[in-house]
Amino acid sequence: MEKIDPFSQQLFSGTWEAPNNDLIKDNGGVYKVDKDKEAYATELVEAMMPDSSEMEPSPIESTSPLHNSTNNTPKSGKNILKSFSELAYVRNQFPKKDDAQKTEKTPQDLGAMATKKERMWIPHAINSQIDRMNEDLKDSKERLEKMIKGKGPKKGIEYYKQKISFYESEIIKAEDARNKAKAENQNKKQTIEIKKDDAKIQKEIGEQLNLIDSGENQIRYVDNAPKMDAFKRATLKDLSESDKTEGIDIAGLSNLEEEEVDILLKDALVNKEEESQETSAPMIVEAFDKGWYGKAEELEMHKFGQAFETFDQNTDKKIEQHGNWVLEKARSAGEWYKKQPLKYKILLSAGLLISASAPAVLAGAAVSTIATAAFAGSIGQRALGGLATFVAAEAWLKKSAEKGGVERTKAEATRHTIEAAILGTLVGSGYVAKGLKNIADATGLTTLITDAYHYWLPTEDVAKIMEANGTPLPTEQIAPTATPEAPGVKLDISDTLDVPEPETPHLDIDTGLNTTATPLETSTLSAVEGATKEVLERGLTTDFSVELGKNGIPTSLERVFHMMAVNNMGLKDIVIFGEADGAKSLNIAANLVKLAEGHNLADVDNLSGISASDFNNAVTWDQAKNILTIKDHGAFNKIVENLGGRADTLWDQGVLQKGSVAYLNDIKPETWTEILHADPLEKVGDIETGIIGHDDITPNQITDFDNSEMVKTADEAQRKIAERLEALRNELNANPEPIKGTTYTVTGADKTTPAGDWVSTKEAPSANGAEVIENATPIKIPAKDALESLSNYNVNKIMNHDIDGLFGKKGFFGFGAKSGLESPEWLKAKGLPVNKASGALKNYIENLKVHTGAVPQANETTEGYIKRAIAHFIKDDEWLKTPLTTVAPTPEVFTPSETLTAPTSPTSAPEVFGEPKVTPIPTPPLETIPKPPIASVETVTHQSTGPTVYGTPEAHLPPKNSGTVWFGENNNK
Amino acid sequence: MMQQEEIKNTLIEELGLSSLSDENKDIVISKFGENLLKRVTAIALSKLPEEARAEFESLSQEGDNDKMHNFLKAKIPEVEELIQTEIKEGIAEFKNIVTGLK
Repeated sequence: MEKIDPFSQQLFSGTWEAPNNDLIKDNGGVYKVDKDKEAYATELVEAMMPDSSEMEPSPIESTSPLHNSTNNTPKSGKNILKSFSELAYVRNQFPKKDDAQKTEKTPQDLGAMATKKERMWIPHAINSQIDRMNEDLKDSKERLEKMIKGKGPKKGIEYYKQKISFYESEIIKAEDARNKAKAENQNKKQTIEIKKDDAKIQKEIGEQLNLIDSGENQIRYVDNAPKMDAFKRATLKDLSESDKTEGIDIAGLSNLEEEEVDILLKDALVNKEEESQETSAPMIVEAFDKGWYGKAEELEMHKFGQAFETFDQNTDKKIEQHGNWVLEKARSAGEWYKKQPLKYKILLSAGLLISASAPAVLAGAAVSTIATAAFAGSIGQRALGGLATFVAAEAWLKKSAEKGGVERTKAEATRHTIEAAILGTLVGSGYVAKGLKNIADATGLTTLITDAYHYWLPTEDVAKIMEANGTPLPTEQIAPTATPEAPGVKLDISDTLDVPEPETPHLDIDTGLNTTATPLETSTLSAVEGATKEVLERGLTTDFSVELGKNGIPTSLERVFHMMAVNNMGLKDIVIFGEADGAKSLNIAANLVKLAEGHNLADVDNLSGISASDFNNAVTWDQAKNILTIKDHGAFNKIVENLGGRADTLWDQGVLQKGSVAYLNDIKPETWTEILHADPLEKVGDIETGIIGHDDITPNQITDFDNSEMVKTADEAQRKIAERLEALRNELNANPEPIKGTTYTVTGADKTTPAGDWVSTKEAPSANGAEVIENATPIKIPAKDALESLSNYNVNKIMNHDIDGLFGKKGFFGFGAKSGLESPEWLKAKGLPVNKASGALKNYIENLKVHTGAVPQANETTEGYIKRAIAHFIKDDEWLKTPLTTVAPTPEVFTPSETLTAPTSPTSAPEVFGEPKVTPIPTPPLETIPKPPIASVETVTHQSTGPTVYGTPEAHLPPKNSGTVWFGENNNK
Repeated sequence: MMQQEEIKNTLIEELGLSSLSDENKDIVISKFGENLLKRVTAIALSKLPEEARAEFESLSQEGDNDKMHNFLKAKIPEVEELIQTEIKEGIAEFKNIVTGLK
């Protein structure tokens, strides 16, 4: 066990008290703390800490409250107070005494400790450094020079020679002074004054080191030094209160490099800083005040965070006082609200707030909101329809009010907005009729509002109204694609529709309309038929054959089908190509692929299933030759029509919103334009195919799916699906027997299938007796035409989720949250070799190794390994075909004689790799598989299907129960 | 769209959020709305007679908004005024809290 000199041990454990013989008198007769030791302590800390002038600014340095300097800084950025503060933080990371008392540790013990308590490394590192420096300073100038030499020009040898000489002379002087003082003051009660020049720093040191009252001595500060700020004081207090660790075992861990120490030290500071953010709001406020956390807006948001802390508490108190039943309902409403996308929250908030200032009758909107929340899941989806109504209604109001070229006044515009918002809220809640009456009564704009309502409500609702009132529904007022349930559809009727001033239909608004879908009136049906006719008119007009990848034809079958699907969709007069349109088109295309692959599609509601043989009667797909042949374009059109109906149904059921929508932003905006225009398919040779596309839709009319709340929500749903899959896989691993009573097997669920699109439709048992849902009616959306493959997408999703969990900041009540992917820890670590991972990331990687059986490869990047391990875990063969991401070779060369880790997962096939550099196995060009960035020269290609052995497998097989060993590490250390 | 922005601007002014970015404004408004919804739900349902709770539960399951609205209005005639008052108080309370932090 290495020793730490008593002074250092006491100093850094906060237990040091200045005895008489540690106080000296300077030339002015004022006693001070032994200066040589103070300087010594300063020097120790300085030498350990990186010189800020020599380093690039790091997040720690730029944000840490500990880096506040004082006027007494003896050297830029390196005053003793800063050093003490930093050490105070670091010292807080010391392990508990139980851990520290272990004196004998095997490398395995240490590895386990590092995993369980990675911070254990930090005190070791520091004390190890201290000890080494102590030895150097006391015993050997040469050793000190040698050690410091590598730190850069500003810490050159000459500088330290001077310092050492200075210390030597000072020590001699100090010893003389000490002896003299001892003689003069022995057994004498005294008051010690600290020289004014040093008062500030001495005061702080004195407070920290309990020097205020040391035995019989009294220290009086002759300087009115400003009181140490609360943050620093609390920090220093941490040192004396929380760090009492003694006897720390540092044996066996002395082989850390200085660079690693620096990294660990930074980690510790960051961790501590984050902890303090979460647990000590006043400190953080002060930190914000001092600009440690930068932007004023963050401070402002912090203020609101604090305000909400109080407001939330007040709300809880208010609702609790009404008893458990009310409490439960109110919380349920809150939970329902939380699940809504942000823009609906804004709308609902707006509805509530407006209710407070509008005529009393408009508070009905708030009542409806409560009713909606009470219904929660049962009609939650319908509530989302309110936004579309809102948008449409306000556009209608604008259009109507400005007829004749007269712009609305600001007051009018505001009033219309309020009306539209409330209408939207009411429609969302389903309370349409009452809302109309209330708004009409309050505003006198009966005609306008009812017109808007009449025009934009779902067809079945309008039909029902007409049915109730015996008024024929003008077919031209049906907008087949304007589905209020599609909040992303931004419809601006003022720009596109010249709606005649309608004759006000007489609505019996007291009837109590039922929004349940009912058989449509004849007039309505005719409208729908009209829409269908348009679809059929837009279909293929002839039979033809195309070779994919030639003459501008996309190489992806799904892309080709996607173009055909969109072409057949009735998008005439559409203003915005929104989430609903995109998701439906993706769904149709994916189903066409499934059919081409020989799968059957089951019935959905009143739509009959489609068999693969039916499809083959219309279409032939020769995968080997990449040739798609439309043999019966009429039959093909009917299939697409059927699939369109399915997509509509799945959208209405809210299924696509959780599945296909998540993939909309995987397609670039310009690619969406290409798909919509479908130019390459318009003519095949001299044959006009009838695929004329939608050339009238411009890029500006395509929704920005990257910023779509609905897409973001669907992404979140996909993440949950991944979690469910993980749980299911665990269950299957634990119980390999088929789970009785299930209606489907996982095997039928393609890994690239957006599970949210699955429908638990009954399916005839398959040939092997298992009931398989392979109809995938809503089916997978393998994004072959996307930026990245779906498989890669899922791998990324899982990794992003995990990294966010490791390094993300939750902030206060959701404010100030930061993505872990943008954290400095991750940005720094992701491109480094995986065996360089430290701290929490290393722990995570260890877990990955255990749970996935994926073995880190020589020079594999951290990010590359994590993705590969996840791909192993979710058995994503496609992703595993991609080349490894590697970093530049390091001197640590992987050799066959090194031991590899045995996969521990019972389901993981052993994967053995030999030489770090092998000839890449050529993989066919896969449009769907993006190639991850390769960080450097060395590329190792591997496959995951079955055991893959390169080189001499026997040499690499690990012994049973062997521990985990990193590549390049010396196992004998 | 202009109108939608306008309605938000009213809220922004009311809650003193003008110095925040659009993203943060939305966050505050949405968070505020969550509190309001819980408060108005609690104040409204607190006035619902206990004997009517079973019917409320039943209507909740049924999912008929029209019936629910009529039910609430019938059982709590002053529900709209209650809600208005609660919302106004909530706004004032929040503004006071924020002001107190400055």
